[in-house]
Amino acid sequence: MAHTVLIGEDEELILEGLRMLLEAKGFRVLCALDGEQTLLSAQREKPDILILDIGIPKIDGVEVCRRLKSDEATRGIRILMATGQGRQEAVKDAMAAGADGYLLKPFGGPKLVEALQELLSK
Amino acid sequence: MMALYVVIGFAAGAAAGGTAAWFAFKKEQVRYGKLLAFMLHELNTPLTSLHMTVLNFLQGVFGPLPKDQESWMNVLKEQTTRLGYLMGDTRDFVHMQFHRDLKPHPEPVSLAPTLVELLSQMESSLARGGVEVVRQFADGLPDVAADKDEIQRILYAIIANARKFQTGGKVFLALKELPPEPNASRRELELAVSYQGPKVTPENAAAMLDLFYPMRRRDDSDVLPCVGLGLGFCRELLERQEGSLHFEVEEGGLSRIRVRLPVSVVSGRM
Repeated sequence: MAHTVLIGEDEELILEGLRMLLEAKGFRVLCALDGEQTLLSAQREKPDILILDIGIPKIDGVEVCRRLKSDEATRGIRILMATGQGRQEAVKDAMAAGADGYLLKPFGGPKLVEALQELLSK
Repeated sequence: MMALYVVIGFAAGAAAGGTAAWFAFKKEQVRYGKLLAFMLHELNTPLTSLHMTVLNFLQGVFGPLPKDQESWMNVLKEQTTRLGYLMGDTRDFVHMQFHRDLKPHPEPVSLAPTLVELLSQMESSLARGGVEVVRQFADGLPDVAADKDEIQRILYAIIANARKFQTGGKVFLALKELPPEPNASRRELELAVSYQGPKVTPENAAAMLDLFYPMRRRDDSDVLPCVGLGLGFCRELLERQEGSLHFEVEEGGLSRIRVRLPVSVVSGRM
């Protein structure tokens, strides 16, 4: 069965590019444009992996991550944070919120797929 | 006596004023650093969109790409990759110089496959420049302990530097483990990047490893002094991960950049 990936990203072009790429790679893909939608979708759908932009509007990525990781029902969702900030900030904020990994922008398909496979193998 | 008190008063006032000015300067530096980090974050978002779209085109995500357009799409990929590395370097520079919190995250890195991947990223630019890369990689090399993200950018910058300044049409990459020094506490790998280049004086060769060298003009030509943020920046990054960078020019004009990195103790094969 295909793994489900939820993408929380407010930049439409990035969201659409990720969706098309991951569908082509055989993933089932769900999309959310802000933190609220991401949270609701994650709670409802329990995806295998959440790719989450740190700077997503309404509820920021770090807070979404923190809430999902503190809830027994959603703790198992592997969260990959994506950020255009420096690694110093990304490591500190994302990992403190319980993220399972992070990707620095700009990233492309191969790097992302490699990161997803690594998370799925854990 | 009064004169002494006046002198002490002035000295104390000057010291207090100097300290206050120093703190104000530091505060301003941090503010600029934060603003620059924000700008880089903003630049990164459209760059990610472009880079990902180009990769999606090349991977056929949007359908088959006409053969005659593939080479142009590869050029775009190369340029978005290069831009991404420059953004990463600038981001590190901000953390190094403004926030003073740049710390490498060393992990075992296999240098040979990293170089092969970088050369494939630069394939079309090397071909356009008529540059042939001659590789000589020793077999069975151990991993080095390095920050993967940084080391990719460093090696890219060094090869791009060689590509730009070579005059002989060839760049030689030699990767080997250095013979252990007597009583050495660690093993090291060395990558030597050599090319026939412009004549460089020993003074200029030394200056090229300075962080602020890009602000100068080369004394041997009218071209820009370096590519990217320069060899001095690469040296700074390497030294932060316990590596080193050396640059030397032989009499005949053969330039050689040597990168040395410690063997990873986690996965270093004996």
